[in-house]
Amino acid sequence: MTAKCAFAENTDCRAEAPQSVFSPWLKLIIGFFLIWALIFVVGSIAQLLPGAKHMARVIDEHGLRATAVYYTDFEEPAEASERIRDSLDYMPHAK
Amino acid sequence: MAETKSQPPAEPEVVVIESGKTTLKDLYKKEDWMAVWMGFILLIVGLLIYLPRPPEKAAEIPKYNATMKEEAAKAPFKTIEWHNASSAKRGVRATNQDFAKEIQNFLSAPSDWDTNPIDALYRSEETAKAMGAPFKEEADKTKAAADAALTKAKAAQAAAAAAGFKDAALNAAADKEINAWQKAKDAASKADTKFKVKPYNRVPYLIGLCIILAVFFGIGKAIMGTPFGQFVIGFPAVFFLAILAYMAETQALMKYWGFGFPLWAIVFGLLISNTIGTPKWIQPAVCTEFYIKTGLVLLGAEILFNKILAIGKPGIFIAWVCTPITLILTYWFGQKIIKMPSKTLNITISADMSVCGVSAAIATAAACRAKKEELTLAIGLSMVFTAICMVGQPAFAKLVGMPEILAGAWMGSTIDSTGAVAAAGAFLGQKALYVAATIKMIQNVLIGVTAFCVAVYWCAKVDCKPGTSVSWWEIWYRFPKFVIGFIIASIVFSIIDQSVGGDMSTVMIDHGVLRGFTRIAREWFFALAFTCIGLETNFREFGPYFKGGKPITLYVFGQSFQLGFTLLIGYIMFYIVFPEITAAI
Repeated sequence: MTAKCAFAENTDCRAEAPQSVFSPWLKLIIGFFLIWALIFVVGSIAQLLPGAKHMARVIDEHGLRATAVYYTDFEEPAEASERIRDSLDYMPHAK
Repeated sequence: MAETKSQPPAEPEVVVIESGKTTLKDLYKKEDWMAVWMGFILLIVGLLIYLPRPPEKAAEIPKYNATMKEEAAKAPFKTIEWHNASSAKRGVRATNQDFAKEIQNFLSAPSDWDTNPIDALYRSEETAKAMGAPFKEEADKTKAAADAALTKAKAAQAAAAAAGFKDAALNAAADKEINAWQKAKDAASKADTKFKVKPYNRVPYLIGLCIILAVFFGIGKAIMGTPFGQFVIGFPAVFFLAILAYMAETQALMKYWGFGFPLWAIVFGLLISNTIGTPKWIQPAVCTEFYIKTGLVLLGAEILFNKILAIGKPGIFIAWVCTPITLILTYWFGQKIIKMPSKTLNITISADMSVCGVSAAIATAAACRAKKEELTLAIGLSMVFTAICMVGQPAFAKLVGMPEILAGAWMGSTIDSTGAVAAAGAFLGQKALYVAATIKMIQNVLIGVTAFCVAVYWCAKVDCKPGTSVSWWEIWYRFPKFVIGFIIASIVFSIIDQSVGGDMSTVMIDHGVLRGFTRIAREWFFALAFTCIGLETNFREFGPYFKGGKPITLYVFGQSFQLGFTLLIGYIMFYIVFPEITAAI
């Protein structure tokens, strides 16, 4: 019987730095620079896309965590579901 | 035997032979079981911390409910008193107590920052004051506007009451003024939060957290056979990269695009492993599976089955009917039409696209034992499409004049990431936000069922020789045991949630044990896991997966189907079958 390693975690799969003419440390510095450029240069340019500025304002205004991966990671789903639950449980008459 | 043919040809086979026997030793020597025990320990600690300490105001909840009931019977709209009672109830949280705030301080990730990364870790009293000062005027202005709106709302409600709530025009006017007051109150509350910026120093807490996590996981690894010292020496480096990942997520420009810590953790890990290489002294602490499985057991506790009733039957139909149909159809499309070379990649992408992005990808990938590159690829795809859908879908809904509730349901079910769903909903308005966030929450609960079904299907069908069947014992041998912990955590917490009762459960479980303790720990474990994925991955390993652009084709097909199908079902449910629920929201 066999089973695959989840996420292939074994020593054979561990990454090794590829060989090249650049020093590994220089490549690391270049990598960090590229990440910096992505955040500050591309991030700033992306704000010029239609709708992006409005979306950013909405996220700030509501204090949303747009990066949340699950409903417990931020407040909004709890607030929303509680408001909806109150609205359904204590629904005003003859609306 | 696992169906190794499903892997891309260039990929080296990574297979371990497991004994066909289960022994008692497995309970403390196998990573799956150890993750279960460690997750359970944390869940028990969380329960012991929070359950004996309900907030004093919890006793007032029946009073708030009685007020809402009384007001609902009195007027055909939500009165000022109704809203005040609802708001007061929402203010009762176990996490608002001093001890809970201290725990959250201890576990908190780095904060928001703009240009200086140090701001994510340290904010002095003076800086906090300076940051809040520009918002003083806005805070004062919005507070005055909220007070004025309340005065108007009171006058309109008094006029409606004087007519015995029988005059439809006066009732409508009162309802309108009360809604305007609610909006003004929300705006004032948000402006006040911006004005009252708090100072912090996360550095000592992060050092303390690093030590605690190193010891916690180090003991687990030591029991399984890894020397404690070696693990503890390597752990701070992994933890440091996880902090960097959080800092990239919280940067002022990046936080708008939904690029969360999982992606950044992989990026920073990849950067190290593909430049200087992952140093040998770090490698004992590079334990992707251990962190991810422990995190998944904690995530299990957040899968509360009562949540699926949050928006009534329409929500169940949209989240629990559309989603599995999309998932199965997309997987079928991947296997039969575009012939994806890897079944595990196919199901991971299908689940992350149809269920709820990163969290579903993690659970599904772990359940079917996908490779780390497959999980990384699925997450990368999900985040890119999330960023597009987060801006594109609300813009489309606005363009075609889609009603807010329908748009909220549509976006809640189709945008991958939970946070992005809320942002897209808020783009359209408050109702869209509430419906979108609630539908997504119901869909989140589907993770447990998805992971369990995928694990069983893989053990019973996929990992078999074609045409053969396996016995239940064999399925048990092969079954990823941490899924049992994940499911037990979900069942136990759902039972506690049910027995404590809706309102008290919100106060003590949702806003106590989960959000005040285990949720934050779970997020750290995932950050560590994704950092490790980056640290043990070589860029070249991604090559075979992009062949023919199949992952993108799969994603685009599934997402296109989901967009159309969910919109149709959403319309039928909210506007034809259950219009009374739509009216009440």
